[in-house]
This record gives sequence, C-alpha cells and structure tokens, in this order.
Amino acid sequence: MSLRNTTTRFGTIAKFLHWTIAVGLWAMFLFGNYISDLKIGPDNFYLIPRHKAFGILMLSLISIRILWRITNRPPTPLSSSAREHLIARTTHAALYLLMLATPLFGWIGASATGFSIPFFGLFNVPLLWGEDENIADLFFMFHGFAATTLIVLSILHLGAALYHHFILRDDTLRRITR
Amino acid sequence: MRFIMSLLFIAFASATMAAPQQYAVDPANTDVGFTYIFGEKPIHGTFPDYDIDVAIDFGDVSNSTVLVALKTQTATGGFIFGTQAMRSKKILNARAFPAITFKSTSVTGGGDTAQINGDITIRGVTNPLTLTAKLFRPNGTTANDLDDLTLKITGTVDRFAFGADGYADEVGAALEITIDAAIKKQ
Repeated sequence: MSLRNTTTRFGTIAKFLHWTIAVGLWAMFLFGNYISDLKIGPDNFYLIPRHKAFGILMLSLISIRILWRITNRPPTPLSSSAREHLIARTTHAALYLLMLATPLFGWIGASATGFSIPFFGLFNVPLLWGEDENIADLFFMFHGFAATTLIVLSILHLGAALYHHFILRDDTLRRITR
Repeated sequence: MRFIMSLLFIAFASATMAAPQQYAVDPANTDVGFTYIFGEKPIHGTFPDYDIDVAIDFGDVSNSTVLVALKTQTATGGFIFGTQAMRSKKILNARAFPAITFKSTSVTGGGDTAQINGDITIRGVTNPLTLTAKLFRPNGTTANDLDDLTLKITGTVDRFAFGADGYADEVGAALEITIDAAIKKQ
C-alpha cells in the first residue's frame, strides 16, 4: 500500500485525509446546528469554543489536503463522458473551495464577536477581525450558507460515487476505499 | 464579627461631629463586584479597579456623599468569555467608555440602613439609581470609634436601560452590584 497516489489508486495519506475530513465535516455540520439551536448557559457554553477549535483543526486538515492534492496527482479518472468529467471537476473544485471557505467564514465571524478562540486550551488562535457585530452576523450567515451548500455537494459527491459503483460498475469508489 | 451600626444611632452617639468625615477605601480589604444571571445560574464578576470617595456626616446623614468610579477595562465576568462579553461593545463597551460612575445626590437614613440616591452613568447614559448602604464597625470597638468601618453598598442596575443589551437571550438584564469596602477615616 503506497502512501502516495498512483495512476490507479489513491494513496494512504489521501484516503486518510478524505475520510477524516468527510466525517469531520458532517460532524461539524451537525454540531454547529445543535449549538445554534441551544439555549446557552454556563453548563453548555464550552461547546461554542469547542466548535471553533474543531473548525480550526478542520481548516488545518483541509489545507494539508489541498497541498497534498496539488503536490500529488490523483489517479486518472475512469471512463466517463466529457460532460460527466466536467461535472465531476466542477463539483470537486466547489467542494475544495467550500471546505476552505466554511471554516474561514466561521473564523472571521468568531473573530468579530471579540471573543478569544482557544485551541483546546493550548493557545489562542489569532483573531482575523476586530470586534464588529455586523461583520460577525454577516460572516456567520456566510458560514451557515457555505456549510449547508457543502453538505448538499457532499451528498451529490456521494451519489456520484455510488452511481459509478452500482451503475457504471467501475472502480471509482474502490480507489478511495481500498 | 462586626456589629451593624444604626445610622441614626451613630448620629446620636456622634452628635459632636458636625461636618462630613472623609473616609479612604482600603483596597486590600475591599471587594467591588456584581452578580448577573447567565442561563439560569448566578455568575459573580468583579471591578478590581475603582475609585470610591466617601464622606459621612454622622450628625446629619443627608450631608453624606458617595462618589464611585468603576474601571470597565479591567472588569471581570466570572469566567474568561464572561469577561470578554462584559467588556465588549455589546455590554460595557469598555474601550469607548472606560468607567462607570455614580454620584450621590441625596442620602437618607433610617434604622440601620441608608438610601443613597444618585445618578449612575454607564456607556455614556445617565439614569437615577438608589443604592442601599449599611455601615459596620469591627467587633470589640466602642460605638464612638468610627475610625475603621466597613461600608456595604448594594443596588440593582437594569443594563438594558443603558443600551448594554448584548446577549439578551443568555444573560439577564439585572446586575446586582455589591461594594464591600473597608474604609478608614482621614
């Protein structure tokens, strides 16, 4: 099993990053929705900085994944029409863009609240914006919209993988699972 | 143990004192704090930096005066995020309004309690406020010994009346202010 991608298979590092981030994004989406509906008090307030810390962790992993993607060519796409290929490329590009934008919007919004952003008690993450309620509201709205769009795209992405596996019966899904 | 002092009793016991006596606050034995409701729980915050000017006329309590300035930039809110929220633009806006001030306009006494009427300014907004004051003297001192006293002032501020209305869903409107000051006659 290779750490790096080959022309026919994703390597271990790409697979690890793919599945860790996939699970992480869904968990963060559910976590974010849970705390946004919560009546915040002293007993559950810690969930907010925890969400921010995991968001920073996700952003770090996503950045590594993008660097890995740039420096490590993915396997050659399996046979599909030019139209399907274009859709796949566009969806992947949008996924990468939203994976970056979602935590970044959250980071800017969180910065603009004026609260510090502790990273699991180890250090405080730098704030990207001064205290500004309007900016906080705006970027939290972007954050929520980007997160929802990302989840919708991830469902389409999963649907496409299943389409390749069960309809086209090619190895597209197996490349990232085995 | 400290004995609670009746202001009226002090007035009779100290009838020879005609002018207000200036008292200095001993910071080492003084706490200036407040309690607010976060969720459903009371949280205690502090104002570690303050200026308190007290003059007490034991002969005529109405001549007494109280001036208080609480520094907002060092206010604490009970926990780190409470502190940050407290100083933020949504509540005290400490950077723009570095102090909360209270200036008494009249003092009335009855029994063991005095009412301090005055004006409080928070975020540049001034509203009337009535505080309750009690004086204590140390155990073992005589009724005439008024050199070292403890002054306890309490009052409730509705933060919404001053535009300090941030986090209204999570944090209650009322701030219960408590000043527990050791004061020494000058």
